Amino acid sequence: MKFRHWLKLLFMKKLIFCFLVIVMTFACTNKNKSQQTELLVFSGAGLTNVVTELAEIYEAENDIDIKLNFASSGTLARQIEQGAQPSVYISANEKWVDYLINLDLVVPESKEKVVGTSMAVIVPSDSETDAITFLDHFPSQFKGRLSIGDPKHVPAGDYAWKAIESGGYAEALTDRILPAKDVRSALMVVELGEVEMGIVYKTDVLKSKKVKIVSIVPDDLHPPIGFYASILKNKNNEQTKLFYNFLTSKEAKDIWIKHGFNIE
Amino acid sequence: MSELFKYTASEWSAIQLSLSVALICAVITLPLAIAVGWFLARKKFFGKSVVEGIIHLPLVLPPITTGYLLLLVFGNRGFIGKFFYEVFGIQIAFSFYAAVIAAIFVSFPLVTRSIRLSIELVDQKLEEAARTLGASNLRVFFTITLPLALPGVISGFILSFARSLGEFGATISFAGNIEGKTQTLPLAIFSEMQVPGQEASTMRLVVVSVILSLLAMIAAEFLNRRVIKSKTA
Repeated sequence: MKFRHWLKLLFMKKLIFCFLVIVMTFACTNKNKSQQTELLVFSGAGLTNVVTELAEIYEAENDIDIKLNFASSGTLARQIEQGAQPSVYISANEKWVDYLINLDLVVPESKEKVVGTSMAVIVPSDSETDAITFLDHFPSQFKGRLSIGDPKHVPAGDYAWKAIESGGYAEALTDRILPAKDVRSALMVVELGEVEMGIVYKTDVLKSKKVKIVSIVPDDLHPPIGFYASILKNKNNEQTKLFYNFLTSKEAKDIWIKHGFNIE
Repeated sequence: MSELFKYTASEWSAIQLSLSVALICAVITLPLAIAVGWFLARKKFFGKSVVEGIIHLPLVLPPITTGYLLLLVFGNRGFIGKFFYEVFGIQIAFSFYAAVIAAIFVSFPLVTRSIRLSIELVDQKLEEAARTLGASNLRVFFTITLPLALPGVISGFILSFARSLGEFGATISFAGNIEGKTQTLPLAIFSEMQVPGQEASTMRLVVVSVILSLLAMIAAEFLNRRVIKSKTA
């Protein structure tokens, strides 16, 4: 009995020792990693695929670790306001960059339009609807709700709602909106077939096999769509500028175009 | 300071909606949880631990996973949702019902656990005594077991109410965030948090949220004490 007790104790000690070794190893490797340069990029959700690809290319060419955070541009602006410290912030509209400039968090001269896109009306791939005209009684083209980003903080939802207003459908649709937390969530709801229609960026649809475009919203119905890159004041260094310049480089241009964005 | 007390119409609707979702959820969950709790406390059967695991799953699953699974099952193309949509023309997902269903799934394990534990503590000899005196199983349950397990039932009810008030992850993915329809208190707080420059509005909702949760806990404590008192008296 006593022997077993002693054995148990020994085993426990070994276990604790192993645990300590593991923790120490992780602690040390982490330290080594943080010596490699890290760059944090906040970007509107509509750029998820293209910015991920750009970051991968940039990482392969430079000794740098790029960390990405995608959410609605309004959400990201709020996070930065509350103390998040990215180096580069890419917003899907001018509004949230200007908001951060007013708070003295972003370098004003760094605000630059990188690319543009259009809004598209989408339906699930297996839908019988093939083509509609946005200006032809749009609210009667579908039943139930319309999936868009929450206009309060999702730029894609804001553009969509502005187009709805310009089309004169605001009153008919105000109670028929299904607001999503970012543009990709708005897309997902249509992919799942929960609603018959949604309005998202044309460029969101290229990657999805589960939805199809039935109409492109006329560009003059909403303010011009622009993705604006900017540099944070606290992170205005050489590393940041290099990546920031890369976004508008010739090499990046091909990637933007491949993903369907227009460059002026 | 006065800004802190000026609730807008949409904030009021979020508060009302939260309360009605929580109340309906607690009322529906209670009888189900009593039945399942009794079953788990008194019966032994093959695969019991698996059944228990499944029932308790929403307790440990990330709520957003629960929400996504609910969407797959109750969505227009899910096997239950499809039936309702095609036969009755009812869309469950992204409606008020969805908010209630999400709350039920998430709070069910909590209530069942609480009720089951208190039923397990009921002395089975008392039940047997009643039976030897000729009481039917149903009568034994309603006159012996349930009254003796009352503290667990009450705290279960309040737990389910309080948990539904706080439900966020499953609700936003399964019921959406529609103002006046599915935007409950936590979702309204989340929405306000996303929009830069809305600190006052966020704070107003946070204050209500804290007060409601606190009241629920105080009520649970108060009722529990009364039950214990009436038993010892």
